[in-house]
This record gives sequence, C-alpha cells and structure tokens, in this order.
Amino acid sequence: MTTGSRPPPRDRRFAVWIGSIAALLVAATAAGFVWLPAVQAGRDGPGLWDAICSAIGLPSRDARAAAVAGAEPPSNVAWTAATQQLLAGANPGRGAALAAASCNGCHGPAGVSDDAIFPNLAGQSRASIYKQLQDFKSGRRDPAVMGGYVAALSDRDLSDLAAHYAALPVPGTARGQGQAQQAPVDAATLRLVDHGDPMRGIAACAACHGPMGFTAAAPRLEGQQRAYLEVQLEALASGARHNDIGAQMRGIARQLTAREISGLAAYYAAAPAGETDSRSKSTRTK
Amino acid sequence: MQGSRKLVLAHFGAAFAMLAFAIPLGAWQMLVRSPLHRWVDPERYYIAVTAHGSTLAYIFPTLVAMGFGYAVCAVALGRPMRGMAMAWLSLWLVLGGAAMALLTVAGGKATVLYTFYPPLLASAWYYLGILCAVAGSWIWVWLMVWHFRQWKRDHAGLPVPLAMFATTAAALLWAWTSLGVGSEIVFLILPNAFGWTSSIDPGLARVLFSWTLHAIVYFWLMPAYIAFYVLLPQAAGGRLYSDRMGRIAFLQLLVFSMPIGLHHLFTDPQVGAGFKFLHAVFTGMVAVPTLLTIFTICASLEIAGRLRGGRGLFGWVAALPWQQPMVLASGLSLLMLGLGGAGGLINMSYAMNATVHNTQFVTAHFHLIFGGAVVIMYFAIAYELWPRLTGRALPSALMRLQLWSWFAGMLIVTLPWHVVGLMGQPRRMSYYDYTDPALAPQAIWVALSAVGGFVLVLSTLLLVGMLLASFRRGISVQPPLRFSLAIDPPRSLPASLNGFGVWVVLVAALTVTNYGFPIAQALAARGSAVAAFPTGG
Repeated sequence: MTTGSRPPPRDRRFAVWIGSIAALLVAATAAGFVWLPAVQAGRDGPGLWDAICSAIGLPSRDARAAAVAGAEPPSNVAWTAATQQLLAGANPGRGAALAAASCNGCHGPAGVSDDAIFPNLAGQSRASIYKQLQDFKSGRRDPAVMGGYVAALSDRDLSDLAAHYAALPVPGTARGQGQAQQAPVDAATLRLVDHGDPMRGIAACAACHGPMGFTAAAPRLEGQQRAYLEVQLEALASGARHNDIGAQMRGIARQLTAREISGLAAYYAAAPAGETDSRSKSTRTK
Repeated sequence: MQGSRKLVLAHFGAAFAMLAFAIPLGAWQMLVRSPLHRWVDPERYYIAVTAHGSTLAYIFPTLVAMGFGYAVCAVALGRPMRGMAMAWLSLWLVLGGAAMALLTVAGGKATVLYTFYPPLLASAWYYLGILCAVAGSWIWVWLMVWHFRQWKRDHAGLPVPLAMFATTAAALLWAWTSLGVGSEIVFLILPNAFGWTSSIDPGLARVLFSWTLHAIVYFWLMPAYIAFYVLLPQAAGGRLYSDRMGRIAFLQLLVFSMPIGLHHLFTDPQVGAGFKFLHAVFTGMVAVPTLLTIFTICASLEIAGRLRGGRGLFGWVAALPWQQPMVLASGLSLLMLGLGGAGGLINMSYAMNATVHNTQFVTAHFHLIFGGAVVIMYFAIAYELWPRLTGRALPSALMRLQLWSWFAGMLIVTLPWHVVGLMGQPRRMSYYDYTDPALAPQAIWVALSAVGGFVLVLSTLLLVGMLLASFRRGISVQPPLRFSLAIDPPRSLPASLNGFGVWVVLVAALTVTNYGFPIAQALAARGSAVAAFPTGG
C-alpha cells in the first residue's frame, strides 16, 4: 500500500522553521532590548545604555548610586519602636510648661489659634505634632518661622509638647458646629474625601486622615484652619514643602486643582472636629 | 475500544463528577459577590474559589485529556493499549491527589486560590495533593509517548495517525510545562511549608508559575482542537481538508505555548521590560496555529456542507447537520473562541494589558475561552464517546439543549463580566460595596452575570443527569469510533511532520532564551524573599 521501506527525502522543513523562529527571536530581541529602549530613553531619559540595562531587568548601578547619593530623606523621623516608646512615655504636664513659654503665643493657650495661618494643635495626634517639630528642627520642613523655637529643644521636649497638645480638648465644637451643619459641601469635594480620584493617583483623604483609616503621623484635619490647609496644600504641590515621606502628599497635591484645594480646605475647616465620622449625611449636597 | 473501554469511561465519569462538584461552587461565588446577596465571610468565599479553581484547572481537564488520550491511543493505533496497570495507577494518583488537595481546601487550610501565589501559604497537604495529581498525569504522558514510539517503530515509514500525533504533542506540552509549577512547589513552597526555610521569593515563584500558567491553557485546549480535526469533519459528513495542516498546527502549539508565560507578569517588577516584550511577541505567534485550525475546520465543514447539497457562498453552512452534537458544539465553540480570542489580544498586548490587568476582564476572558470554547468541546467529545463506551444511546434533543444552555449560560456569565472588568472592578475580591456610588453602575452587570452562573448549573445537571439516565436504557449496537479521513491522506510524511525529537529540542532552546535570564536573575536576587503568609488560621 505504501512505500514504507524507502527513507523519506531530506526534510528541509526543520531548517526553514527553526531558521524562521530564530529570526523572529532575533528581531523581537532587537526590538525589545534595543529599539524600544532607545525610543523610550529619549532626550531627557535615562540614556541608551541604562535603558537597555533596564529592559534586561538590570537597572544601571551607576545611575542608581548617583541618584541615591544625591537624595536627601524627606524626614529624619522614622517610626521605630524607640520613637513610639518615646511618644508613649511623654509627659503632657511638662509639655504644658514648655508650651506656656512660647508656643501659646501663636497657637493659643488652648491649642486653638487666633490667626488662620497658624494651625490648631489641640487634639492633634502626638505622632503628627512630634514629626513636624522634628522636621522643623532638622530643616526638613522650612524652618524660617518655627526653626528658632525648636532649635534648642531635645527629643524629649518635643515629645512632651506633642503629648500636651494631643491631650487638649479638640477645638471648635462650639464654634464649628453651627457652621458645619449649614455649610454646603459640593459633591466633587466629598468624592475626593471618600474615594479620591484613582485615575489621577489621588487616594481618598479619609483613607489616611480618618475616619476610614489612620496612618502614622497623618494629622487630623477636621476643624483645622482653612487658610493653613490651603497654604500647606499649595506648598506641597509646588514642592516648597517636602517633608512628606515617599512624596505621598506632594504626589496628591500636585494633582489637585486650585478649586479642589479650596474646596477641601473649606470642607475640613468646617467639619466638626471631635467626631470620628464628622461627615453627617445632612451636610452632603449633590 | 481495544480493551480500554473501562479506563476511558472511568476518566470521563470522574471528570464530570468533578465538574458537577465545581460548577455550583462557581455559581455560588458569583451570587454572593453580586448585589443579589449579602456579603459572606471571605474565608468561606476563598475556600469556594480555591476548590472551584483547583478542580477545574488541575483535575477536570487533565482527566478529560487523559481519558480522550487513551481512547485515541486505542482507536487511532488500532491495537490494544499496553501498560493498563500503569494507566489505572495514574488515574488513582490524580484522584487521590485531588482528594488530598480538596479536603485540605474544605478544611479551610488552603485559601490560596488555584494559582497559590506566594507569599500566601497553604497547608503542605494542598501542594502535595496537586503534586500527586500532576505526577499521576506524568504516567499518562509517558504512556502516550511510549505508544507513539512503539507504533512508529513497528510501522517504519508510515505516518503516525493524526489523532495520536496530536495527543502526543499535548502530552509532551504538558510534561514540559508542568515542570514550572512542579519546581515551584518542590523547591520553593514545600520547603517553606515544612519549615525548612524561613522566607520565600514571590518574584521567582511567580516566574516559575508563569512557565506553567499559559501553556496549561493550551493543554486544556488540545482535546478540543483534536476533536476539531479528527471528529468534527466526520460528524459533519465530510473529510478533513488537510492532515498536514493539522500536524503543523499541533507542532506550533507545542513550540509556542510555553515561552510566552511572562505575559501574565506584565506588571511584575522583577522581570525586565525587554523580556515582557519578547514574550508578548511569541504570544502573538500562538494566533497562527489557531488561525490555521479555524481555516482548516471551516474548509472541512464547507466540504461536508457541499457534499450534503449546500450551494452558493454560504448555502453550505445551512446544509451542515447542526443536529449533530459535535457539529453544533464546534460551531458554538468557534463563536466563543472568536470572542474570547479578541479579548485575549488585549490581555497579551504589553500596553493594552495595563488597562485591564488584574480586573474582572481577565477572569471573564479565561472563563469564556476555557469554560466556554474548550469545555463545550469536552461535552461534544463525551457525547461521541459515551454511547460507544456504555453501549447506550443518548437523547439527541437533550444533548442539543445542554449544549445551547451551556453556550447561553457562558455568554450571560462572561459578557457582562468583561464589561465590569472594563469598568475597573478588580478580580479576586470576596465582596464589593455596590452602595458606593463609584461601584453602583457595576451592580446591574454583576447581577446579570450571576444569573448566567445558574444557567450553567442547570446545564451541568442536565449533562450529568443525561449520562446517568443512559444506564437505564437498553444496550444497543453503536457504530465504532472512527476518526475523520483527510481528503488526501498522507502515505508518507517528512520526519518533521511525523515525530517530535527536533521540536522538543527547540522547545527547550526557546525556554532557555525566553526564561533563562529571568529565572537566573530571580535566583541570584538577594533580599527579595519575604516571610510567607499562612492562610487558614
């Protein structure tokens, strides 16, 4: 039936197929490891060699070393066990004595400031106050005003001050309550607070600043001074303030429009502090 | 069936028992994370997901591939199978492994999903069960390759029948691709589960799993493709358009299925972008054997349709015997393959993937391709084999109803699911708060999708009920199983189309070029290992 005994003629398919696959491999390798990295390297990019190394999965050690050498940490405060023990063991009474000497002049004896440019501190978290004081002292946050006041204070002094202000009753329940109930809040601002805007990389404010979640040293925002909030968000957006670890707030603030900054500042300034969930449904408008 | 009847029947019976167990779990998951139901304890949800995925990814398709492989081996080679004791041992290993893994899951000790990505860590029994099942399937691989070689040796110069050629390609593909997950379990996960290592490298584990993860899909697909070539043309009353084209398609599937798995890791940081691009290019090549198959199948069906009196440009389509389950299932399968393939192009494109990565779009895609296009062909294969295995006919109208209901159910499940994915819903979550205004628009689609799940449950019950009820019928004479003849059956073939030696070397070479460096890099990485996260309290 068939001519089974005759050996088949030499099979050229092996050479053709393996050659084609090898050609495909070479072409794809050239495109993936040389051409595309070259295009992506661009004029202001990492440079061709670094781009190729990156495509292989080996970020250039030289480039990385240079970047690391030039980088300054945004803050010297680290949330180590020692820092947390220091804060936990802080003495609010001693902090009150320190505060009376100078702080109360601007931030108010009850931790509530008269001038909207100075933040309210009463009821603020210990970690948050402590970190900012440390950053002023180290210069990580612009020390033009605060630097002189904290330069001579020790870590213990700073933690005691933080404990003192954290222990003060939260402000504005009398002042803010009436306003908060009436102030209409626009839906866009509420959306930023509750959901952020993932397409712009904006996390929900409430995820770190409460009430959904609280991360270390993220300050409480409800009842804060409106002007202070606006100035700080703008400073973060411009990079003038840069002591947020991992550029978390700079990344968010850069994405916010001026209108959104104003809306958020107004929202938090009017939000009654002291309640865990300050956003009662009655203040929401569509 | 040359003495393999009980063996094949046992495989298909076990496979559909597994299906009947796992499909209701899937429907329940769709229900409880839809707005039609209140939230459930996430642990219970993940127990169900892990059981559903492990059963339907590792056990069910493996049993179908093995059972169909034994049937092909006996029928295509025309002589009784050897090594029956090994074949039964292999079945018991697969079933024993499945029981071991699933009981661990049921006990709440392995809520790691079927992908078990570290640092998630389950009880060692789960991995041992999966490993046992895979080891069982290796015996099948060995049996297929052994029979292939024996037949070739005894019939020097003759072409190995296409059905057996394709089955051996599937076996070799599975052998090579299961090495990835096998080595991940043996070298990374089990030492950690036993407490011998204190940390585990998730990057390396993911690269090794990707070695398996895409080729396993083609292993699932192989029985469906084999049925397209060797069962469909005959069921339609025609002939296979080209035997050689089939061989080329199966060889390409063997070569291109494996060096492409990194397209599952497009957003993983431990792999360089160049390798991701390389894998994307090779993933594109897998479209070639699929398109060859669609061309060959359409040509074969056109031959059948014209032989049956069909005229004109499309008259042959209407002339096809659509009442035949194999023809109907193939038509529905090709529709789902087309839709799913279009979605797959988005998943495999390095840039477009970013828009759907880790969303429900991915889950919807593989349910449409595997659960839809492939599993419906498993049903068609079962409808071809079952009467010949049991001697009892199946009711034709009910078979068609079952196929249609599966098709409808799968579309109702997956089309809204794709939409939800495009709306950004992440996958692998146990509940979603649809009262949230950001998620509210997804609710209607998810609810719709959940309804489809219950259509699939009904379809599964119909299938299992029909197969069981057939035993109440009398035994009747069934025509023997035959495979389609090609228009021009090859009398002799070049070595490249009648054996695998060189192609297996090529697969190994492509593994080295496409996976060598990423694996070596992950092995050499320091400081990338983390402590495992044990599941199940």
